[in-house]
Amino acid sequence: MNITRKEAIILGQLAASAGSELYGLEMVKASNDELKLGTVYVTLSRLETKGFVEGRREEDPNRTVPRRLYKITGAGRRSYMAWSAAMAVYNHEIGVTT
Amino acid sequence: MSDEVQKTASKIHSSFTTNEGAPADVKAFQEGLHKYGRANKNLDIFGSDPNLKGLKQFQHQLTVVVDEAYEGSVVEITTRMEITARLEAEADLFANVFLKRTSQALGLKRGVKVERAPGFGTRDFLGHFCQKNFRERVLEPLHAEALVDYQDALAKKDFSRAKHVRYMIYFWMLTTMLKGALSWVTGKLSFKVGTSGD
Repeated sequence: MNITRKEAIILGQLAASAGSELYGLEMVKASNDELKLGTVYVTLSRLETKGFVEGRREEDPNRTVPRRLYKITGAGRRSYMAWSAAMAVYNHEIGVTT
Repeated sequence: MSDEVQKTASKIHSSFTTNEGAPADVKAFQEGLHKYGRANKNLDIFGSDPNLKGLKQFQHQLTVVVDEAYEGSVVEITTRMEITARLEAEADLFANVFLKRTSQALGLKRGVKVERAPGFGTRDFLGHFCQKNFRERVLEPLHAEALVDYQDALAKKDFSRAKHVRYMIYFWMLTTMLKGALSWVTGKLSFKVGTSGD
């Protein structure tokens, strides 16, 4: 299944978080302006539909509006690794060093 | 203005404008709403008269209660909750009229106003036009995170950032809705194209 660059950035962050859950805002802040708050949730929702991430509502009684926490699934991790490998080969072929 | 009235005025003023919807306010707002606005329907400080007949009575009651209470006491908090619940129960316009008259009566130079954390109305409005899934996965978390950003800016006293987030919340919600709609349409079209050859 294809993944877009933004999806790959999100999957990369979740994969790097070592199994812990992340909020959307955390991902936006860690992305160096590559992700925007206005679009990150549409992307996350799409990843959830694809089965690459799992989301759940935060359970904090002190919070008026509950946030949503995300973690990567096994399928998401495999897809991200496949995408990274493919990109590495592609970049190598066209002579781009990352 | 006497010292007593001035003290009351400042207390009323602070009770309405604290932190522009900081977490504590929002929590008090919810608790007040639950405790008084819904659970106790007999609370009738304003009265139901559209001509604000209960205004004087409420103003008197409010002045006495807030004046007698000391800051942070149960009575003061309860009064704030009652005020919040009443303001929620009545229309915003009604509240604004009341606050305007109160501030005039107390001789406040700067008018008081109720400021809620932004985006609730827009989120609820947009929620009518999208699926439950989209609302729960996209709109609500977006609003929640934007509020965190907003409250974080207020806590750091970065008011320009708070103002920026306050207005951007509406923009983010609208663009998210448009992008969601666009991807829904694209998904439908690609599905039709994919199955049309069968």
